[in-house]
Amino acid sequence: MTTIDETRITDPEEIERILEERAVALAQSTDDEAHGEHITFVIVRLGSERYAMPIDCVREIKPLDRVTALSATPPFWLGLANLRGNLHPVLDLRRYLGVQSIVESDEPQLVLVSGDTLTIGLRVDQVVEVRAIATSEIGPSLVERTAERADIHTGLTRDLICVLDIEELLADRALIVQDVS
Amino acid sequence: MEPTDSEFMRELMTVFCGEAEERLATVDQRLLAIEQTHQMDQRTDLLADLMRELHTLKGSAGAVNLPDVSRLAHALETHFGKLASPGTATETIFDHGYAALDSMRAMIDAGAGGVACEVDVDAVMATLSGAEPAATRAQGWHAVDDFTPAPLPEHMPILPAPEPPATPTIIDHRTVSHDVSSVVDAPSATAAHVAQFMPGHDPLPGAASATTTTIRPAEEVTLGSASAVAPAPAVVVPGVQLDASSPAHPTPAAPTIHARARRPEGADEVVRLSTAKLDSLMARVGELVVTRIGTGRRTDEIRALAETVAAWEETWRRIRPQYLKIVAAAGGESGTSLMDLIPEIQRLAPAVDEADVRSHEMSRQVTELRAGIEADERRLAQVTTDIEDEVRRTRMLPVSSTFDPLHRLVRDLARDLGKEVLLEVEGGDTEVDRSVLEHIRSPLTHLVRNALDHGVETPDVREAAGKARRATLRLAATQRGGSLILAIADDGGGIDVEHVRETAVGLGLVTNDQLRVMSERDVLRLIFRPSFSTSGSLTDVSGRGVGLDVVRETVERLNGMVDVSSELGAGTTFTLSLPLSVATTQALLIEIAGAVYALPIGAVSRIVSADRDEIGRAQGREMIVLEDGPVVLVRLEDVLQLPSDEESAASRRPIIIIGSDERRIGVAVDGLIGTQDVVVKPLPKPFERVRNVAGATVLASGEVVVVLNTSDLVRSAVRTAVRVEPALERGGETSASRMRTPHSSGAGSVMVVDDSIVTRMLEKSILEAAGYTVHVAADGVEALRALHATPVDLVVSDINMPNMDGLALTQQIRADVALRDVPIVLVTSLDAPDDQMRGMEAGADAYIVKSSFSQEGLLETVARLITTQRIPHARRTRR
Repeated sequence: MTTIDETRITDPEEIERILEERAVALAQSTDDEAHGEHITFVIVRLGSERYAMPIDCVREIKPLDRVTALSATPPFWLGLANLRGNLHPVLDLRRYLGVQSIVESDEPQLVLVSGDTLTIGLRVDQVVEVRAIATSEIGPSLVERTAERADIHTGLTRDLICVLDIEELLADRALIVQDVS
Repeated sequence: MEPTDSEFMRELMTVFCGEAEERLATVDQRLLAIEQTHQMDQRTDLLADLMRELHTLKGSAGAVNLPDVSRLAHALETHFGKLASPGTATETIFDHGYAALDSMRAMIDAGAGGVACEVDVDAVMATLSGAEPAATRAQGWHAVDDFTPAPLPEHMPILPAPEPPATPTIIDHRTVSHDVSSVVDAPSATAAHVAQFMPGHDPLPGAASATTTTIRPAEEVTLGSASAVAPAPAVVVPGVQLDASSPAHPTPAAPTIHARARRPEGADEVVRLSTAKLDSLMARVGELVVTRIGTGRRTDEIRALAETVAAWEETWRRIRPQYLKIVAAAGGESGTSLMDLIPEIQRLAPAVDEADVRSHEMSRQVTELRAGIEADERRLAQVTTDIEDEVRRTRMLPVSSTFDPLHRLVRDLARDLGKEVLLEVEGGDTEVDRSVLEHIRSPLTHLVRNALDHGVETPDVREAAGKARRATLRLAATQRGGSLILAIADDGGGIDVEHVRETAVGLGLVTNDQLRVMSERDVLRLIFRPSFSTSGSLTDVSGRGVGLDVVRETVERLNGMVDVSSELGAGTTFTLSLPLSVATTQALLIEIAGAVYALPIGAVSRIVSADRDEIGRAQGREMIVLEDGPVVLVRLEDVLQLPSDEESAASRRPIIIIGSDERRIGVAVDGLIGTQDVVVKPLPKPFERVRNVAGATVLASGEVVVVLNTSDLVRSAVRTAVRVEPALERGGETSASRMRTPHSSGAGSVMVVDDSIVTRMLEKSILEAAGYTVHVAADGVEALRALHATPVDLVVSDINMPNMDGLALTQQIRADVALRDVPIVLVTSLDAPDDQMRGMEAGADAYIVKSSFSQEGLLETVARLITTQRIPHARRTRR
């Protein structure tokens, strides 16, 4: 990269050009980060398993307190939670994914995730950490998808963190409650 | 225009729909007014308005990529230009104009919904041009030629073209002077004058161009592109019949009144707010900022206080060892005598003084802090209430937005029926919650149609009866308290009460015996009963499909009321009374399986509690027999599939009777918590529709409570699988002890005084369930009369009531020798300490605030006061 040396460059156009060049270079590097090797995930614990969700989908994390149950909804729907006056549906991610919960949490957390059209709260046992994972570290999902539910597992890391596709989760038609009776 | 930016386009379309709806309404209105006036100068003003609206619409339609709408708007400008010259206003011009406007609505609807439009624009435009009388063409007024119909220019502005700087007022039509009569004396001058009101048009050259750029027929044909055929063939567009050869107009059944531009899927409703409303809201927010600064100061004060405390502690730490030494010496524990310690004590004195100063300082700081916090709290309470109020007001719309389209309806309908009707509107500026307006649109339309169809006579009949040929239909809106009162009054033939009697008996709604004791007004009210129609024949207009019972149902669903009065030969008036806002709903909070649920109180007809032997079985279901017949009894936990709590299921439970006369059920719950005004929110996505759930509400505590859908409950209840008789599972004893009479007989008698039937009902039910004998009265006067006839053990009264309020009633009872010892409980919505004070001064024994009203609270208070009163020596002597 060219440096600006006051003693050497006096032409404002030249300086302009160098600055431009640098701006482009800077923009380039951030671009690389976004598309490239690492993706930042929120890692949560469900029972004794760990799951990762892209941080872009996560809007808020807070301790889960009261959830008001809704009858006549699928069992994975826990009900409604109040976040600053807004009502959000709360999904029990363990039930949805069919995770056997051996380690019951005393302090479950609510992870608010949102996509294009939907914002829902996910009940998880614990939020472990937020960290970047190299895409090269993520291997293919090892378990075959079940027929009745959308496959939201996109891969598995070497240290057994299952990567979830939240967009896919939010697009799952099974989430919709539309009573027709 | 970047069509790729779909988000932006969608938003733009939403805005456009709102704008188009408004502008088309104005055009309709102006056109009606032009049709009704014969004064040329007035007509010129109205036409200027109309043209401006069309012109703006033309521009905006281009911006949202609806070229056909633009073209039609352009053609309409030309078409209505014909109205500028005197004597040219033929019915055909109006009829074709209205029809084309309806087509335009359909086109905008289709465009907004992203569907193909069924309107043949070319045919509509051909009709417009074909109807043009040749004689007027030359001097007529035409579309200003600053617009290229197709293809759309790239630079097409989103907003109407900016006005020339020389005439900055022309876009804001509110500031345009309407007094132009002196200027206008010839058609060309009219055109010139009107032209300068048009945005995007230079007034001076416009004066010339408006008359010179007249589009000749040949050019006009190019507008209509393919079909240059005149007269145009009859075309059918949804709800609109167009026929160039006859002055047909939309059939009355045409959904013109409902022709509101549809919003694009998924787009938010756009609300237009006046700047004044925003300013007022902003002012409140300013107050809020002041409060925040105040609380910031409190933080500083607390910090200062903490410093003083720390300094005091520091001083005390210095004093303490010396003090302990002195205490030890005084106790003779150490070898030193007190005398030896004198220098020590002297040294101690300034430190003690210091500690004293500091403690005074602390006390002062605490006092100041308390005053400050109290002031903050007061201000915050005021500001938040104000803001809530202001925000609620932003949901309000003038009722004229609903009245305006009715002008058109009345015109079309009157013509269709061969009647002459003048529609008068009053109080159009009354502001009402937009959702209330949304809901009353159809009942209002129905009542207007009814008035024209059944109420108003034909001109000849009217003349024969000595009335003016032209009937008057009056629509009046007024605000009374928290209610909107809508009156729809016609000066027609009125309702024949005798005919109502005959029909009602004929339909088996009432018996002759019942009729004999009914007042005329009550007989009239029978017309709101389902399947009632006073019209001899079913007409197109009303009588088919929806009837007055639907009007009543709709209004009652909004917690409103509808009434009718009529004088034979003089006219009929329907009165609708509606809440100004539906933002809040009064709900009954109930408890079931440890959770709280809310039931809209409108659906609750009463609350009972039944003894085991009052519950029977029929058709495999549990039933409870009320005075007026049996109802199906269900347990709420069964309907909601909640875990059943054995213990509570076995105990006596309140039963809430919900639903309408024909389909009602009794719902057994665990407990009643009380009534409360709640804001019902729709369920968030992806909950599109959840059985038995109408929505949810957030209580003051932050707790989310499900609001039950009562019609679903009724349906679910009738369907719920037959439950195995619990007696078979658990043995007869449990079952028999369920629903037992709660109290031993003779718990006492109570008089409930309240002007609200709901409150009366609720309190009566609660007290009766607890074993009291309950009498009711609607106001103080009625209560006093009843008390003299039948003395009771206790009076529960509301404060705010007509005729005689609760305070006056209390004073009267206390002043009455026979009644003075009756305990009085005041129940009121007023939470003001002042009122509580006044209540107590008047001589009330207890005071319950409605907002914190609970079953337990009421029963406890009543039980306590009755017991006290019944023990003779505990009886207090009163002044």
